[in-house]
Amino acid sequence: MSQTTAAGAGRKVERPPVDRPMTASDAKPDAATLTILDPKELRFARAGVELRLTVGDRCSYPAVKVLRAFPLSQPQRHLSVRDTGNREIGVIADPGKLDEASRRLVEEELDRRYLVPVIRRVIAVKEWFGTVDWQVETDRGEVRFTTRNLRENLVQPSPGRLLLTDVEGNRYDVPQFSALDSRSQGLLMGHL
Amino acid sequence: MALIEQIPTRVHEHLCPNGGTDGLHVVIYADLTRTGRFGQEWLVVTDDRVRVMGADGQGLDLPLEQIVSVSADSLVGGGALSAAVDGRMVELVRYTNARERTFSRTAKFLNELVEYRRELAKGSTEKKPPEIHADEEEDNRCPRCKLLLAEGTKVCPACLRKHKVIGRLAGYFKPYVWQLMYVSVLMLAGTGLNLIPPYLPRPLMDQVLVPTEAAEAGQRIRLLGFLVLAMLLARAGHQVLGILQGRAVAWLGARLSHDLRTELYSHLQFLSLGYFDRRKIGAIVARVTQDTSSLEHALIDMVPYVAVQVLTLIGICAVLFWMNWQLTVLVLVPAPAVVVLSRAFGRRLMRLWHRFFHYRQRLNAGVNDSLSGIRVIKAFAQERKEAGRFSEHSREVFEATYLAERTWATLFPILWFVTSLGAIIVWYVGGKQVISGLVTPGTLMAFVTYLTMLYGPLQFLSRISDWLARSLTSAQQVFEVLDTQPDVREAADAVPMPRIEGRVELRNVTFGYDKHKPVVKDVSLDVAPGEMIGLVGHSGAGKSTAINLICRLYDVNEGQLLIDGVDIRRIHQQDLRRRIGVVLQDTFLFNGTILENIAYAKPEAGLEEVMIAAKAANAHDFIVSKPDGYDSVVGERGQMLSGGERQRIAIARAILHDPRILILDEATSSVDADTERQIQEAIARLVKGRTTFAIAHRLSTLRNADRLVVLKDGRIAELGTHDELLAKKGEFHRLVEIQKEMSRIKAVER
Repeated sequence: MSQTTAAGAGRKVERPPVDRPMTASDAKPDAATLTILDPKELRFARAGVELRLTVGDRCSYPAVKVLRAFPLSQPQRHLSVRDTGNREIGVIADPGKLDEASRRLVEEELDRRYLVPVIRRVIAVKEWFGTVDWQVETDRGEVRFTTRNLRENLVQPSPGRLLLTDVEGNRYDVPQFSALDSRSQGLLMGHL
Repeated sequence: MALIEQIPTRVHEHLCPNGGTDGLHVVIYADLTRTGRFGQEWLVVTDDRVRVMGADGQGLDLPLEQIVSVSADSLVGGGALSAAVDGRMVELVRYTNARERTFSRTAKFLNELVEYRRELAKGSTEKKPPEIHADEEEDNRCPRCKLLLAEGTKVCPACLRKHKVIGRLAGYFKPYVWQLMYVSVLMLAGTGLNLIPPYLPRPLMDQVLVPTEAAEAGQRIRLLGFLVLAMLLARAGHQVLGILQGRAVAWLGARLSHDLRTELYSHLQFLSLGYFDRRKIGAIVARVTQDTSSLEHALIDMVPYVAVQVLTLIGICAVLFWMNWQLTVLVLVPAPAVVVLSRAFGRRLMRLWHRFFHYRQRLNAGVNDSLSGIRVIKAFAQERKEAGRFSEHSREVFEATYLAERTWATLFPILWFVTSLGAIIVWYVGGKQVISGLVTPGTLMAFVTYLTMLYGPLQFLSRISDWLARSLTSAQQVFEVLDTQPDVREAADAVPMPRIEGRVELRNVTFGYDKHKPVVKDVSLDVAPGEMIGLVGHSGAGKSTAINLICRLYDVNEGQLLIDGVDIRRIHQQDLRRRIGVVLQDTFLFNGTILENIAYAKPEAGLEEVMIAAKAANAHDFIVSKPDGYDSVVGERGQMLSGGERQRIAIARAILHDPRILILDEATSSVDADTERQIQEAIARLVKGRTTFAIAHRLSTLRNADRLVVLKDGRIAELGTHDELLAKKGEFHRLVEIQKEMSRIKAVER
């Protein structure tokens, strides 16, 4: 489902009376407290496309969503786990501490949800009239896409990192510009 | 009808061995595989099955009976279509944003199909089978390159033809044909005159200074005088023509740019709000000011310059060939090198300068940002960090400047050297010819002089294509706006509605600013003339959006909105707007007097009418008490007035407008009890006898409403009178309780 603004986060007053199972770590959930989940208590399992989460030995959630709190700066840490009603069950600070099977499932889920291909190599670039056609190799295979108005659609979230947005709203990531081969760098530079 | 996309033969053969598309409802491709890699998979819906086929022939095959429901989940950067089967969710296909719209439509269709078949199985035959059509938005792709075009425009920037832009630009010259002719004649004459002085050294040398045949001194002096006078006249004449030409061109260019700017701005005013939502206001301002002024620059400075350079080049070549063609051929040897080098250097430099401009802009923006936030910076003691950030940006500018200047300093002398090679060749080869008596020394002198004039235009012409591309892009960007049609268009068969009763009906209205993310979902509501409807709900529940639809600032995506039984899209916009009044939460007053603001929608209103409206709005008294009365100038955004005063002026404006349908977006700003009462009174008078939609925050307003609509996530959650809803103890009751709680907290705070 689309991420409408974190409905549960800001306006606690409007939240209906608690109608969800209690988590092990917060017997009485306080609206203003961020629940940090203990990775050792969490077991993820797959049911169809959905991810099931069992916390400790007490409660279980049939279909959870796993969201990145900092998709750009800390993609592998601080994951927000949410139930079907988009209420936060808690935050996993370091998913590396999950057990092996759960960690893999969480990674799979993140890979499914965050479709931001990482550009490995620029194969060809063609520009006419402010429209740029790219042919690139990404971690998800080779792809062609078109960008327009690069001044707005190419951002530099941190030094050396580039994010491109194409005309369809898809994003492409270049984590470290200087790590690309020199031909790709040259092709990219020509259109910055 | 069906939604069938270009099927690859392999898939097609597999589906229908006999060819044709009978029995297929949907055949669409997904641009991702189920493992999340780029690739194609096909989703096929037939009468009784859903199938997914990958490139490897592997896939899924589900009978429709097994499917309970289908959902298109939107993920970050794409989405996935899943089906609920046997109590679990099965992923059918995955796709990127490019295909999201198609798949969300297909999900809707599949759900309808599943529902229809379920009814059919129960024996009910009332329902019609659902239909899905090819997407009309697909038409908004460029037929040549399949690029998604901006909404409402058919101009594809990628496939745009240069000559078409030039042709269109030339169209703007049409009213000024005579001025154009005048300029052309001046240019021709000026260039001609400019070619004379370099020729004069030839007779000067050969007949006056070092005469080849014996001549008498007096005659030589007379000839000298004549030649020098010719030189003077040619130079003076050239300058005079230059002045005349410059003046004429300045007028012509500025005039054209004025025409274009005016047309652009008045076109912008009539574009729908949707256009402005999708763009940054800054980008639009840039179109109006920067693009038109860069066009002006092109027209005033560049076009005449190019013309003169081309003419000069042709003229010089002609004279050189006439004087000595062998030497000319030699001179032109370095010419291709000059063209190629200046082109390469020019591109490289331009890129570097662009970088410099970009960084400088960022530096400026940063300074602006941090200085306007200086209070916050000081409050959090972040001066050091801000200074550090500035220094970082400044260093970027330094590096970009250094790189550009360094490149310039290196490349330019090289270019200069290559250029001067021609002259060196001429001195040697020409010199030998002079010694052997083939050429006179005067001819050599004239030759060298012409030569220095030749390379200027040559260097410039090598950059002409870049320059052309830049100017044409500006032109094209301006044209693109001019070619944008408003989304909210006047229907061809629009009906005039001079009188409106005020009945408003919403029938299954669905709308989203982004078409595949609906904000208002399937809302139906029937409002009688004169009825007052209070809209209640969380922020983001769709209240303001519903109101935008009633004002027809946007058109519904699905369903219908009727006013007095007529579809809102078929009513003349002018009539509609005349009958709808708004009092908005963010009371926008224009720079001007109070009088002008009240009479904004009805400038022809008499002064008494204005006062009557102000009186009814409880605004008259405070206005008159101001030293300038109704003539008081409202500062920018109404700064000279208090919040309560601004609201009452807005109410007066609405009363004077006298709409049949009234939109009230109540402000939440806290005002004192007396002002509150005055505003409430004014609103009560305003609302009387008009169909009113009020986004209400105050309980008092809610109580006055005939019916309340409680919106939740874009749908109507509850509908009824205030008391009914309270008794129901549902969503509304909860909201009221929260508000009571809030006011208790506020009371304590006070």
